Amino acid sequence: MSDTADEQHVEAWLIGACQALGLNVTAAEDDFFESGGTSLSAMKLIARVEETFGEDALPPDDLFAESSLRALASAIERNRRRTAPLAGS
Amino acid sequence: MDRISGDEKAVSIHSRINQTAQPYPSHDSLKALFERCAARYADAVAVVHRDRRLTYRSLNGLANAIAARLLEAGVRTGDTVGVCVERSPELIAALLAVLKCGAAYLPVDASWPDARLRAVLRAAGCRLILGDQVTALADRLPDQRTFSVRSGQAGEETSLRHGNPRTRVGPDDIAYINFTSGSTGHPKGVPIRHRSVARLVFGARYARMGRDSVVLHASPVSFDAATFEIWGPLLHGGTCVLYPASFIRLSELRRVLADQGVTLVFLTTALFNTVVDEAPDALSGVRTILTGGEAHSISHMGKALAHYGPDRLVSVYGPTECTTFATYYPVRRLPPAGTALPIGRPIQNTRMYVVDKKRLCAAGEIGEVWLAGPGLSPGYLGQLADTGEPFAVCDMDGRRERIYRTGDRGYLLEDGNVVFQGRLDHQVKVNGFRVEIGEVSHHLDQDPTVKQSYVTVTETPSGGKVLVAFVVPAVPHCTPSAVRGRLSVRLPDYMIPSAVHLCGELPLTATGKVDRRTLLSVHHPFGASSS
Repeated sequence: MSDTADEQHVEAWLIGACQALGLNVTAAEDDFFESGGTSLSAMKLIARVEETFGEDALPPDDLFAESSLRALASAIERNRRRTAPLAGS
Repeated sequence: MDRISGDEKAVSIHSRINQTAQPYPSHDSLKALFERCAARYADAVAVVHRDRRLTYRSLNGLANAIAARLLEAGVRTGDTVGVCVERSPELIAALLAVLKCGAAYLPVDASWPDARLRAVLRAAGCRLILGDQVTALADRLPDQRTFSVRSGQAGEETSLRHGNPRTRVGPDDIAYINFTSGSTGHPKGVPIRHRSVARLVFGARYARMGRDSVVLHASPVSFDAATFEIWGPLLHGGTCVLYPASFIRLSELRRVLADQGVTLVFLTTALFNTVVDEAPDALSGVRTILTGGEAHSISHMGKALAHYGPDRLVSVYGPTECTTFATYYPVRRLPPAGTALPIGRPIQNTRMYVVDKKRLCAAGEIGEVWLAGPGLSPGYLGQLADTGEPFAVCDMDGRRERIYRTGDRGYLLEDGNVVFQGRLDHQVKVNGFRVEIGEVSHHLDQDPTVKQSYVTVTETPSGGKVLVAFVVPAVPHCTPSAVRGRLSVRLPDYMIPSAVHLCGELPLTATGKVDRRTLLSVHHPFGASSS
């Protein structure tokens, strides 16, 4: 799969994960905090990202730096490639 | 002086729960208590941070070196010194150094907006601030002398050259000042005496503490949970484990607790619920789990009881004005359906009264929770009556007591435990942070684009709490993000409403109050919210 396809997969996963946390998101353009995300839902999202994509897949600094789901997806992809090339679902 | 008394049943249940006297070092300063530990347990580990482990000897040396520089800079007994240092061994050394000078520390957070930092420092009469990023700090706070916690010629060898400073510090001196939200728009400074901290950590009923205690410090140091997390272990010869980042990650929490063998933690209710939901195993090795700050969720408590068993969970309650914890309740079973988990009975050397209309309440009668004992703050800093003076001296059925009226409502159970029943005023708890709705409204109403506003707290679908603001714009270009942006230069993050809704007017109920329910239907268009 191309990077774009990977990222789209992660974006779709993120939309589902955020909806499961009760956030009002429908598209990758939506912003985690603007959609009702709090520091506690951030903690939960990070825990679930790590469970699925491996530890350090989404460091808090990345989440706070840019928090559209699209930006989160590319951060996850970037960290995943850097830290554990063979890890993944 | 108000005279408070009650019928026989009311008097008898209060005298039963208030038999809390325990011997504790009430005549010693924190300086003396810590220096005694440093001499006695010199080679024991005092502080752990990432891969650094400092013994009591090194920590004391580091603190003495900073104290020597503070004294040289003119810091004297009774002064207040700001401390703006990331969680690190230097932070703990900085707090100790200030205490060793006989001064009070005022912990502040670099993430606060400049206006708040300045307001808090000014209110505390603080002119010198210890920091770890002094250049940035000096730019932000031109009125303050900034002082680095790291001396130029750092290194443990130099620091060990300094002995304990010979300043005179007494148990009635102020050890630190915490600021809490104030309903008139200005944060309130709560000074706490040395003796009050000793009262919190010695002879503790809520948890066993000693040389072998390993306690996690993960709370922001500007909140008073840190008082317990730091001085609990460090006045007993135990170990204080510093959580290595500002934001808690559950995977990292699990690793820190396991790797360092943490035996005792305090988690805010919101954090506790999150851990129970997402990673209950993270707390598996911890002997005692203290949790509090908000009303507990019974479903999370049930899950936690099933997971951790009946002897490890303790619910704690207490306002900053009574030094961190005032009551405790060991959670051994869930309360009967439909009732809340009790906040419990007073901790050691603390007295609690449930009072309604100058009368002590008997079991089952709802009243206001009053607290007394050596944990009480001497009163707000330079405070003009804010919500009516909550500190007073009363005759409590023949006993002269200085009391603090908490503003919390509650009732006693027959067994002496108290059940919390909400607030008398507009104070709310959002993720463990105490927020006066009035402080947020005050700043919203200062915004020139805002004509009228209403702030409330509501639950998110996942069970968390958030602040929501409804704004009637004064000008056409008013936008929610600009309103939030202007608040963020005045208020810390946790006080910024997570949503701002613009509306044409604030709807009123038949009785002329703002119609909260109708407004919240704008916020939750797809479903009803719980209150």
